[in-house]
Amino acid sequence: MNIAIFLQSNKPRALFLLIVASAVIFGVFSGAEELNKIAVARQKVPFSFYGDAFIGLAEALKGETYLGYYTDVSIDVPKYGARFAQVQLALAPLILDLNNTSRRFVLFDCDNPQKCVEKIKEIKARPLKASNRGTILAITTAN
Amino acid sequence: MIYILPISISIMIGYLGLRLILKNDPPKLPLLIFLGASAGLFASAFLVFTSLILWGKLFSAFVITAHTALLLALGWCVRKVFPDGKRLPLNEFEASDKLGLLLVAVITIPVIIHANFYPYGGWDAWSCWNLKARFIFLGGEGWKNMFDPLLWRSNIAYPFLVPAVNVWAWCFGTDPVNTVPLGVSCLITFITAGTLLFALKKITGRLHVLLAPLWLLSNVFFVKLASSQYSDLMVGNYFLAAIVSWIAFEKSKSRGWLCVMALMLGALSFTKSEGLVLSLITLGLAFMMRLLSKDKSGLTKGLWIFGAAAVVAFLPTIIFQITFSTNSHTFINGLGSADKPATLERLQAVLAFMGMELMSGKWNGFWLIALLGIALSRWKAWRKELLLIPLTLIAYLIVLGGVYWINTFFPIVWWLGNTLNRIIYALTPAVIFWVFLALE
Repeated sequence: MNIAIFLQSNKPRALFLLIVASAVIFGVFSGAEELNKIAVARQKVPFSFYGDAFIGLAEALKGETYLGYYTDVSIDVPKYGARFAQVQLALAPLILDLNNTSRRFVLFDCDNPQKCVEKIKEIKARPLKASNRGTILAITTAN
Repeated sequence: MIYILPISISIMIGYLGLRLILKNDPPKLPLLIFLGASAGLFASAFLVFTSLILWGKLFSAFVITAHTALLLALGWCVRKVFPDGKRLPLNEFEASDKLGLLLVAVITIPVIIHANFYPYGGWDAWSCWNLKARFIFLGGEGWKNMFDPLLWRSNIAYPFLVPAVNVWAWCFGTDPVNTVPLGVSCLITFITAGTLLFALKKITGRLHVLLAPLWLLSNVFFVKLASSQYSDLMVGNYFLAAIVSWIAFEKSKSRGWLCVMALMLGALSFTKSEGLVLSLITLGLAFMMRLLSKDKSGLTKGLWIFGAAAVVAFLPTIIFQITFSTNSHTFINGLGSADKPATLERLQAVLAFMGMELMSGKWNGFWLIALLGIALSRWKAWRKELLLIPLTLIAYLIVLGGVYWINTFFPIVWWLGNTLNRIIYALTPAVIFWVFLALE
C-alpha cells in the first residue's frame, strides 16, 4: 500500500494518526519507566497482603456469621482502612463487625497490642489464639 | 492451569452462540471469537446466578453440567446449521489478522506484569469484587450475607458479573485462589483490545487501526486500572461490544446484530450500577433511533426481536434488582436534605472537577487528542450511523454529573477524586472506536 497516497487521501486522519502515534511512543516509554520503578520497589519490599495472616481462621469459625473486629486505630485512615478490607477479604464469608465486642467471637487487631490486651481484660473475654503479629482471637462472655 | 478449562468453555459457548445468531451476517473469525468471548463470559455468569436462584447457593455440579449441556446443544445446532464444515473457518485468518492478534497479545503483557506486582488487585478488588466472589463461593446458603448492611463499604447494592465469572472458574478447584481474578482481569483486557482492533478492521478494512489498541494500552494509567481486578474494564468491554454490534447493524441491517447488542447490554447492566445506567441509556436511545429511522423495512419485527433479546439478557439484572438489591446505605438525597443539601457550589465543583479530570496528566493527553480527532472529523463524528455513541456518552455524563450533585453522602472532592477517573476510563475503548470511525 502506498503510504503517501493513504496519508494524502485524508489529511485530517493523517494528522490525527500522527498525533496518536506520538502519544503511543510517549506512553510506551513512560509506561516502561513506571513499570521498572514498580519492579525495583518490589524487589526492595516484596509484596505482602495483610489478610494472608488470617487465612484459615474463617474455617476455624465455621458456623459463625459475624466476627467482632476490635482495633485501636481509625479505619478512615487509608492504611488502616486497607488493612481492615484485607482482613475482611481473608475471613469471608464471615462478616467483620467493626469495634463491636459483644459478638461471640472477637478479633483484636491493634497497632498497640497492649491496648487490645487491656480491652480483652475489660470485657472479660477469653483469648483463644494469638498470632505473632499480636492479633488475638477471643471468645466473649456475651453469649 | 485447570482454570483455563472453564474460561475456554465460556469462550466456546459464546463463539458457537454468536455463530448461530449471526448466521446471516457473520463477521470474520477474529472478531467473532472476541465478541464470543464476551458473550460466553456473560453466559457463565448467568449460569452461576441461575444456580444461586434455583438452589439458593452455588451448586458447582449444576453449573458445570449446565455449561456442558449448553456447549453440546450449541455445538449440535452449529453442526445442523453449517453442515459444510464452516463452523470454525480458520482460513478467514489473514496475515493482517495474525499480526493484529500478535499485537493485542504483546500489548497485554504490561497488564500481566503489573497484575503480578499486585496479585490481589486494587482496593475495590479486596473490599468489593473479590469479596463478593468469596461470599458466593464459600458462603453456601449464606452467600446472601454479602448484602448485610454491615458491609456497606463494599458496595452491597452492586450486581456481580465479574465475581460470578471468577466463581465459575473456581468451580473447577476447591479454593478461591487469587490467580483466577488476576487472570480474568488480564483476559478482559485482551478481549477488549481485540474487540476494538477487529471491529475497526471489519468496518474500515485498513491497517492503520492497529494504532487503536496501542493507543488504549500505551497509557500506564489504563494498564494499572486494567490489572486492578475491578469491574470497570468489564463495563468498557461490554459497552464497546454493544456499540460495535449497533454499528454492524446500521451497516448490514441484519437483525442478528440487534440480538448481540441486546446481549451485550444485558451483560453491561450486570457489571455494576454505572453499567446498569449506561446500558439503559444505550438501550433506550437505540430503541428510539430505530423507531425514528427512515428505513422502516422490517421495523416492527426488528424491534420485537430487539426487545425480546433485551428482556432475556436483562433477566439477571431484573431478578437481582427485585430480589437482592438493597437500599443504598451511601445515598442521601441532597435535593431533600437540610443537613447535606445539593448546593450550587457542589454542582460547580462537579463540573469543574470533570473538566480538570479530562485534562489531567495521567491520561497522557488522551481526552485532548480524542477531542481533536472529533474536531478534525467535523460533522462526520455525528453522522447517523455513529450518532448513538456521542448521544449515549453525553447522556451518561449528564446523569453521572446529576448523581454526583444530588447524592450528598460523600464529600464531593473525595468522591470525585476516588471514582470519576475509573468511570471515565471505562468509556475509553468506545471513545477510541468512535474517533477512529469518525475520521473515515
